[in-house]
Amino acid sequence: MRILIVEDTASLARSLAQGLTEEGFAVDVAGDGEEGLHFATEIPYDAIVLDRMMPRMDGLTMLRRAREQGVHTPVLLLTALGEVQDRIEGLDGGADDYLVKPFAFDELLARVRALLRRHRGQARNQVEVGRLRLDLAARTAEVDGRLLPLTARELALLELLCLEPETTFSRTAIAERLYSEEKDLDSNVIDVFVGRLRRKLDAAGLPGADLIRTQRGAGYRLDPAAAAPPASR
Amino acid sequence: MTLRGKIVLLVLVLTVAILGGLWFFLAGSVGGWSTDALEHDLSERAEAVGAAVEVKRGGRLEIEEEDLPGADDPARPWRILGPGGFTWASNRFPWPPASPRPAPGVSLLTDAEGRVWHVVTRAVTVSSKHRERGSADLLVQVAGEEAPFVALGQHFRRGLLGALLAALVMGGGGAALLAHLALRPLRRFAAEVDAIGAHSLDRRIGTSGLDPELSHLGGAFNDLLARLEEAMQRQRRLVSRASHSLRTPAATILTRAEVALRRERAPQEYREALSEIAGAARESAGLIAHLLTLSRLDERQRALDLTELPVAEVAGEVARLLAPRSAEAEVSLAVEVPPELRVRAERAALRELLEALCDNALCYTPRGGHAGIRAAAAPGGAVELTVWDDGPGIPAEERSQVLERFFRGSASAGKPGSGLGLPIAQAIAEAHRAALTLGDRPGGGLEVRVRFPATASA
Repeated sequence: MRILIVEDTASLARSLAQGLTEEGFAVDVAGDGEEGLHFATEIPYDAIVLDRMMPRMDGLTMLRRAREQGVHTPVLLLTALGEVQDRIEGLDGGADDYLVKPFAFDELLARVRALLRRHRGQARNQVEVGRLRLDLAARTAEVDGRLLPLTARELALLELLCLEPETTFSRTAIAERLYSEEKDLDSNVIDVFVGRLRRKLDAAGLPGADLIRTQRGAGYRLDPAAAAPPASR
Repeated sequence: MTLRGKIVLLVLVLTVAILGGLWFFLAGSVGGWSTDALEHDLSERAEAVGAAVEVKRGGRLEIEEEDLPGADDPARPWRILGPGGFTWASNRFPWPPASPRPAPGVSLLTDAEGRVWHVVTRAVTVSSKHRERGSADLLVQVAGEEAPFVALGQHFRRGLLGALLAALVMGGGGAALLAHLALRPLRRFAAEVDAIGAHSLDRRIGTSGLDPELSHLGGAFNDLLARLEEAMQRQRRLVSRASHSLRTPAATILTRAEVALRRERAPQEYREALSEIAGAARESAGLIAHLLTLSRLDERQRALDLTELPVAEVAGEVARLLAPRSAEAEVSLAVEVPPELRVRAERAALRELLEALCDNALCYTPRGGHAGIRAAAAPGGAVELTVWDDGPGIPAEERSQVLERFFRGSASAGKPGSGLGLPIAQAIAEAHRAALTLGDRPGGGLEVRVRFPATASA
């Protein structure tokens, strides 16, 4: 999951980026509305955390422009204004949710997850694919009730594939969703990554190579049938 | 009392005064008129009676009956007294005795039944057309009853009173209706004003179709609304900026701390987090100090302790105070002030003013840049202090805004600062009746000029 933070207060933006990165999100930071608009229109983010008051271009203007340019990414508006009128303006301006500064980081996380979930039309934080079970809030993956020892980014890859099974993701698409702008990626880094994830799935008793199928020349996709319980196979 | 009540009352009072006066005049006069009419009528009858007497052959007198119609009418009494004082002729009426001989004129007579009669007595000389027959001096008396004329007067008074009452009722009703119609635009006006609240100050009162007086009032109201709306918007902008300025460091502190505490970290990471938290806390503290300064300036409860200050000395103090900041920012801070120049100011406030302006200069000037304090005598004994820098300057369109509290210009992105430095300088200048203006420095950069008025002794 890739997230854009648009916040002019550098220290706050850094803290948010660190916290979200540690939660397994790929995070980009823009320091003002103009930069934010450029990022938002260029890269398919899963969510945008947007500060409302910024010099040059404020959050609401950026949001309006982004929506005009067809960006449907869910937006969490950070505002220092708690007045009802201001919140209404924010929501009417195209934000999907708002959070009043100062906020608890856990609340921000919960709201970002809720935004992602709502955007996917999903009611719960749990995703089940046969014997594989993901908890998006607790950030865990289990096979037959046993915890899979995954790193944040491996989990993010598994989530990406599980949330849209049968969809083929190109290596570029995966890189775009999992890595922020800062990282320079080798062309085979995704392959290495998938290989590691498959080995961990194998160790947990699932056929890794069948579950994450390689589509030659196209990329990878999840095959839910491979995770079905043995009885039904 | 309502305006409508007052209008109705005024109309009623006027009606009563005019019609009442008229009534009193007419009612008072009608008695005289009826008496006049009665006596005029009696005089004519007396004339007629006199004219009916003819001197016949031998000086004999005779009444021509055909010349005296209604001679027997008991309601029209008459008699003719002969030269000897005897009653020569009369119709049936209880005339009083003829002697002593009554004097010509008008007299009153009350008969046995208590009726009052007016009696006109008139001397008539009847001459014959024939000279030889001679003439006779007679007294003619006619009487007319007063009662019918008095009744007519009363009837007239009653009718007048009725008309007056009817006029009152109609006048009152008419006045009420008129007031209602006249006040209708005012009621609409009031309803429109009532509907305007703090959140609908953009509404205006419709003045089309109003009378000129009300339309003028509506225009005045709309002007007031526009000023209110403007003030309200400024207030809202101020609150939102203040809220942003106060909440953002708090958000930074909270988020930094919470993210740092989410997992075990190396001491170095904790140190970094703590130092960032300390930075944000310092920013908060600076902001609070600025806010307190401003609120103190706003209240201005105490009078400024004004003294004649040597500008060079205060400017030197400020430069020394800011030397560490200047070194850290790598921006030089020069002081060029003629030693004899003095302004009338409060020392602490003047220092605060120069510090706020220099701080602003140090903040926005890039590393390796220059800033400074300059002062010069201006025409008319005024003194102009200038704080300049060779930084990016302030675009002309932002100049009025940067003096608004918490406004942060386009150059402020990522810079520390509360957005209160220039407003503080402005407030201090105002307190000293000094004019603060922002301008371009020749060769690039910002020039803030503060012109102190001439000192009393200069």
